[in-house]
Amino acid sequence: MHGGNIFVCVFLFFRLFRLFALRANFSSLSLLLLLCFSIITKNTSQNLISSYIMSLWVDKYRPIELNQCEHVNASVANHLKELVKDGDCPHLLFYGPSGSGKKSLVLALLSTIFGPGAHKTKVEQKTWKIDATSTRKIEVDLMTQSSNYHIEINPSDAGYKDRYVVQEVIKEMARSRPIDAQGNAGYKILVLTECDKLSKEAQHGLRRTMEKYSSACRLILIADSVNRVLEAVRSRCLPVRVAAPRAEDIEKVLYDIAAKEKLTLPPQLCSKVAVFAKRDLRRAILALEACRVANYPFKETQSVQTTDWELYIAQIAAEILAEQSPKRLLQVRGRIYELLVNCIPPTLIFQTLCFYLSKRLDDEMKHEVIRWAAQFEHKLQLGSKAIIHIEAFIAQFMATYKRKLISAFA
Amino acid sequence: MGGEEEQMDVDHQHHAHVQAKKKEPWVDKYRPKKVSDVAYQTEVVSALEKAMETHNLPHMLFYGPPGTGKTTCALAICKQLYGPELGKKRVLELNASDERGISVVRGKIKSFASTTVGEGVPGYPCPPYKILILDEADSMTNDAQSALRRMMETYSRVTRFFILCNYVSKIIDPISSRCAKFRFKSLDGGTMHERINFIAKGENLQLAEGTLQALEHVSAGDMRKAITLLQSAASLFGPELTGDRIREVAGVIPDEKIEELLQLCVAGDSQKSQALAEDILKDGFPCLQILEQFGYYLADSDLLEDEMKAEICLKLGEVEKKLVDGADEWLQLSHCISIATIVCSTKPEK
Amino acid sequence: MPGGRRLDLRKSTLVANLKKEKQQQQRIQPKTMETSKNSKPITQTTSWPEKYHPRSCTEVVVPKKKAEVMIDFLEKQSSKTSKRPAVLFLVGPSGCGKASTFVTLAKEKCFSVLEWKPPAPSIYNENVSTTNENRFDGGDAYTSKIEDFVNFLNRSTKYNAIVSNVIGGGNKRSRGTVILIRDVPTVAQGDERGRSKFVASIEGLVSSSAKNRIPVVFSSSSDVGEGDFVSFGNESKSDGLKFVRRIIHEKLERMGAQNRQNLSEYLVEIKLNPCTKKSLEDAAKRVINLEFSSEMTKNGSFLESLPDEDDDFDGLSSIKSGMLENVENLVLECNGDVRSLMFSLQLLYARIVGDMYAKRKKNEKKNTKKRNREEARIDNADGDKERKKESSISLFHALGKFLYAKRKPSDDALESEVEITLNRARVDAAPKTVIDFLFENTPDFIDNRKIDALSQFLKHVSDADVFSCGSQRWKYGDGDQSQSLMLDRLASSVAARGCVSVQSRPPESSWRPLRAPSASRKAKEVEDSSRRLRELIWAPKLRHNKFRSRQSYYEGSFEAFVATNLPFKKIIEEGYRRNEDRIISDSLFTREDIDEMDNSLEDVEEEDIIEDVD
Repeated sequence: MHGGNIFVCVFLFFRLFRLFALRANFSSLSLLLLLCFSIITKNTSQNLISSYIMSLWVDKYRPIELNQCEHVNASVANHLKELVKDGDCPHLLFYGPSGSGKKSLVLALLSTIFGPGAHKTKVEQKTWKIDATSTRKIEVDLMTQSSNYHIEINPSDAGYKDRYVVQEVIKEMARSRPIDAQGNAGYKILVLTECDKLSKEAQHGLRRTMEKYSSACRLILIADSVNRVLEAVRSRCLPVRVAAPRAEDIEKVLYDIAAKEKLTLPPQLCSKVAVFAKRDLRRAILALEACRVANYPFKETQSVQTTDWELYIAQIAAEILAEQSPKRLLQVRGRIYELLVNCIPPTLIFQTLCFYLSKRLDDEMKHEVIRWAAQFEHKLQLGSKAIIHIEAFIAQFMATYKRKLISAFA
Repeated sequence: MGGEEEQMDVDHQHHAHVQAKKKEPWVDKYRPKKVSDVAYQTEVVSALEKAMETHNLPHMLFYGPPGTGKTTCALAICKQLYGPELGKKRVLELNASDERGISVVRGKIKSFASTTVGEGVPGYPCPPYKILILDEADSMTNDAQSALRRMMETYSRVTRFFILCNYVSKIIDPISSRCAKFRFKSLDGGTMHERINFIAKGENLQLAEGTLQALEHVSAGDMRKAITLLQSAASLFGPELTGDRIREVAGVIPDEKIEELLQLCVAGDSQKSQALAEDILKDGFPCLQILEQFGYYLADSDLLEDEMKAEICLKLGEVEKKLVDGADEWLQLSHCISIATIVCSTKPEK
Repeated sequence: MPGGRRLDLRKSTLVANLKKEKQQQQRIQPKTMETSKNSKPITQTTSWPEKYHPRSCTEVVVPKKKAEVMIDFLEKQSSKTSKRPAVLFLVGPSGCGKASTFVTLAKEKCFSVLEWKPPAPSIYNENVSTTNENRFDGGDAYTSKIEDFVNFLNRSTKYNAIVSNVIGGGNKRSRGTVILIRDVPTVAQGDERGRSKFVASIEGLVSSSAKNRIPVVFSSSSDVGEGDFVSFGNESKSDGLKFVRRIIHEKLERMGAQNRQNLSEYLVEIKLNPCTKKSLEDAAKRVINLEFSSEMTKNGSFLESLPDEDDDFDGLSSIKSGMLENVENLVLECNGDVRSLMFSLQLLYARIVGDMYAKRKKNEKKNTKKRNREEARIDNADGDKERKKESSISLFHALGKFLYAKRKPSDDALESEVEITLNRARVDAAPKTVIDFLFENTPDFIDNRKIDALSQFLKHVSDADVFSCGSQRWKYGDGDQSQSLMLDRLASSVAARGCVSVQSRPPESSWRPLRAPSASRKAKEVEDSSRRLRELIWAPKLRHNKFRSRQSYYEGSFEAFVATNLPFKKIIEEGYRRNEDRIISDSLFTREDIDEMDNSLEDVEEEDIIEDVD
C-alpha cells in the first residue's frame, strides 16, 4: 500500500513537473510539493487521485448507494433496500431496456449489502481450465471484476464456451467462501451481465448449479430482454423490472448534474436532450456533456450532437430514397460494410434505418418498411451473414418504394 | 473430480439445511402432507386413496398443467407409505434440474431401481417396493425414455415409477401404456383463494382488496406460480400486499395500457399506437408479455369482428415464434401493431 | 481366401457349370484381387494406376506449362549454389496427378524421391500425437499419423539420404534428393504437444532443406475455400496445408524472405485443376494400348487356356476396341480424376474379359466372336445408365452458368439444371461459397432499372443463408449428418435458383469480370475490430485497477458501448481537446489517457463520414 503511494506520488510529480516546467510557473511547484507531502503523510491518495482522473459525467454521477437513486428507479431502489435489510438476498434477475440503470442498481445494491468494500474491485484476466469431457480440456480466458464479496463476469465474452464458464465460476466461488465475523460461511454474489446472450445449454447448466450451490452464492442476472431467459431460470429468481426513465425523470437528473458541475442549463436545451435520449439515461448524460464541450455557456437553440454512425445511417436512408437501382444498392452495400466493420450491431442498423426511412414516408409505406425490417431482422438472427439480410431488406424496400412512385406518377 | 464434487455436495446440503430454516420456499413449506389434503383434484385423490389402501400401487403417470399438485401428490404418497425416515432410502426424486440423459438412466436410475428393498419400519405400511419419481419427464429425450421403459419392465417387482409431466403426448407410448394415468386439472379461483389465505395467515401477510383476484388472474390456475409470486412480492414489498404489487412482481402490464393500445389500433392511429407500444417496451416489459396480454384482450374485445381478430392473432403467433428465435423486440412489436392497425382500418368496423 | 476362390473358379470354368453368383463377385472385385503364385491370374495383379504410372514427361496428365514449372523448380535446385530452402506446394483436387507427375519428372531428371504417405490404418484419433505409453490396449504398437509424420521428418532431416526409402535412384547417378510429402496430416485441435512437435519438425525440415539443399514438396488436395466450412464456432481443426503454409511462411520470414518477390524464390506454389478431358483420353488410350501389347507379347496370358485357340487374337482385339469405345464415357465419369479413370478401366477390362471367358465356355461350339461383341455392347449400355454423373467443372464455370443463365430458345427452359451444375462444380454441399459469390456478383448482372429482380434474388439469398446456418446447427448440435448435408444442398440450390430465376432475359452480352466475394474478408475485419473494441471496454476498468479509485466504470453491454458510449466519448474528447486550456486545469492526468484512447480509436475511425445530411 505504501509502496504504491510512493509510486503514485513520483508519477504525479513527474507529470506535474513536465507540465509546469513548460509554463515556467514556479510558484505552483511549491504547491505541488505540498501536495505530494500530503499524499505521503495522510493516506488520502485515493480521494485525491480519483479527483484527478478525468471521468465522464456518466461515470462520475453514477449512484454508489441505493440512497442516491433519487430521480430514477427510486421505488425499485427502496424495495431492494427492504429486501436486503437482513443481509441476505435471493437470486435476482434485473431486466429492462438498455440504459435504464440496471447495472447501477446492482452496484449500489452490492455496496448496500457489503458496505464500501464492494467497490474495492480489481479487474483481471482469468483463465479457467475446464474438463469438458474426460479426454478434452478447454481453456477459457475471461475478464473478471471482483471484490471480496462478488465476482462480475460477462459470460457472453466466452462465446460458445459459456456453459462451461458459468458452472466453473460458480464452483470456484463455492470453494472459496468468505467467512463472516461469527465464523459462519457467508456467500458471494455472482453478477452475470448480458445473461440473455447465454446459450440454452448454459442456461440449463445455470439452473442446475443455482440449486446445487444456492447456499454458497447468490446470482444476480442482468438481461436486456427477459424473453431469452429460460422460464426455469426465471422462476428461480426474484424478477426486478427496471423501467427506462421517462423524459421528465431524465430532465431532473440533467439539472442535478448541471448544478453539481456549476453550469446553468436552459430548460429548452434540457428537454431537447431528454427527448433526444429516447429514454436512455446514459445517452442523455453523454449528450449533455457533448453539448457542453461543444458550446458553453449553453444556448437555448443549441443543437444536440448525435453519434457519427447515426448520421451515417441517415445519409444512407437519404440515398435509398433518392434512387432505387442495383447500382445504388451496391454503393449502399459498401456503406453497410463500413458500419458493420465498426461493430455497429446489425439489429441497431435495422432499427435506425427504419427510423430514418419512415421519417419521410406516409403511413402506408411506413407499414411496409416495418414489415420488411421485421422479416429480415428475424432471418438475420437465424442466419450468419448480416450484410445479406440488411441488403435484402433495403432491396425489398427499394422495390416497393419504386413501384409506389411509379403508380403515383402514372 | 467426482469425489471432490460429492464432498462439496454434502457440505452444501448441510449448509442448506441450516439456512433452510430461515428461508424455505413457501411452496415447500405449505405443501400438503397427505394425499387427502391435495385440493380440487377430487377424482384423482379418491382414486389414489383407494389404491393406497391396497398398498399395491401400479406405475403411475400424472399429467396436467403446472402447479396443479402432481409433485405434491407423488411426495405425499411416498410420505404416507414409508414415513419420513424410510422415505429417504426408498424414494428417489429426479427433476429436470438433474441430468437425465440416457447415461443417467442407465447408471443412476438403474442402480436405484435394481436394488432390493430392506425391512420396513413400524407405523407405516411400507410395501415391499421402492418409488422412483421422475418430475418434468417430458423434457427427457426419446432415447432416455426408451431406456426407461426397459427398466420399468425389468424391475417392476421392486420399483414403482411415478412419471410426472405437463404433456402426456411427449411421453412415448410404451411408457404411458404401462402406467395408470391421472389427469390433474387447472385449479379454480375458490380453491386458490382458500389456499392463499391460509398461507397469508401463516406468514402474517395483509392482503388488500383485489390481491387474490390479481394472483388468480396472473397465475392462471398454477398454484406454484401463485405461491412463488406471493413470496416474491412479500420479500420485495413487505407484508402488506396489493394487487398492483403482485402484478409488478409478475411483470404484468397494467390493463389500462393494453386496452389503450387496442383502442388506438382499432382507431387506426398508427402513429400513436406505435408510440404507446414503444413506451410499454421501454418500461421494461417483455415483448412476449405484451403480445400475450394483447392477444387476450383482443379475443375478449367486442370492438372487432371475428375475422379481423383471427387475422391479427395469426400475426401474433408468427411474431411470437420470431421472438423466440431471438428477433428484435422493437421491430417485431412495431410490425405486429402495424398489422393490427392495417387490419382495423381496411375492414369496416362493426 | 481370395486365392482359393480363384482356383475354384478356374476349375469350374473347365467343368462348364459356372455359378452365376461367383461370377458376379468376380466382376465386382477384380481390382482387389491379389496374385497367388501357384495359380495363373485371371485379372491383373497390380492396380493399373501403379502399373501404368507415367514413365516420362510426355505421359503425364498435368498441363505442359505446369509440368515445366515443376521441372524448373527441380533444375534450379541442382544448379543453385546458395544455401536457401526450397519449398514447393502442389495443390489440386485428388487424382489430378500431382504427386505422380512430380515423381515422374524427378525420376527423369535423376532425382531420388524420399516419400511420405499417410500410414494405412487410420484410427479415429489419428490426428492426435500419441506415444507408446497411452496406445490402445491389446492392440499392436500403434503410431498415429502425426507421430509417423514427425518421425519421418526427423529421420529424413537427420540422415538426409536414406537409401531404403528412395524411389528410382536406379543405377543412374542421382543428382540429389527430394522430399515429397503427400497429404499433410492435420493436427487435432487441443493436441498441443502434437502441435508443437509438428511445428518443430516442419521448421527443422525447412532449415535442413536449406542446409543440405534438399527441396521439399508438399502435395495436398485441399479445396477452394475449405477453410470457410470448417471454421464454425471456433472448433475448426487447423487445416493441414494451411497450417503448414503458415509455419513455413513464418519460418522463411525468419530466414530472410522479407517481401513477396523474395518469398517466391524460396517457395513455389502450383495449383492444379482437375485433368482435362483431352489429357485423360490420351492417358486412357495409352494405357489400353500398353495393356494389349503386353498381353499379346506375354506368353503366360490367361487366354491361352481358352478352348478355341484360333480365336485368341480376335478376342483380344474385340476387347480392345470395346474398351476404346468406352473411353469417352469413362473420362466423363471420373470427374477429372486420373486415378479413378485407371481403376474404372481396369474394372471394365476385368468385366469384359470375365464375361467373355464365361460365355465362351458356355457356347463352346458357337461362333463366339460376334457374341462377345454383343455382350460387350450390352455391358456398355448398362454402364451408360450408371454414368449419369457428368464431368466436373470449375466453380467459376458454374457461377457463369448461373449469372448468364442461358435458356433454350424453344421453351425458355434453362440449358442446364441448377442442381446438376452445382453437383458438377462440387459445390452443392458448400453453400457458403456459392452464396458469397452470387451475393457479390449478381447485382452487376441485373439491369439497372430492375430493382424488383434484385430484391427477389436477395430474398432467396437471405433464405439460403438461413438454411446454411441451419445445416451447421445440425452439424454441430445434435442433429445427424444427412440432415445437414440436405440443408447444405438446399441452401446452395436456393441461392443459385434465386440468381437464375431473376435473369429473365440474357443480360447485355458484354463480358463482366467476376469479383471475389468480400463477405468473408469483411467478416474477418468485423471480428478483428470487435476484439479490439472489446479490449477497449476494459481499458478504463484496468486503469481503475491501477488507481484503485472508487469510481465505477460501466460501459453497458457491448452493443451499448459501441453504439452510445464510444461515439459520444469521441465527441466529448474532441471537444476537450479543442479547449486545451481547460482540459489542463480540469484534469492533469488526462492527456496521456486520451492519447492512449485515441490511438486505439484511430483505426476505427470512419473516414468518409459526412458531417450532416440536412
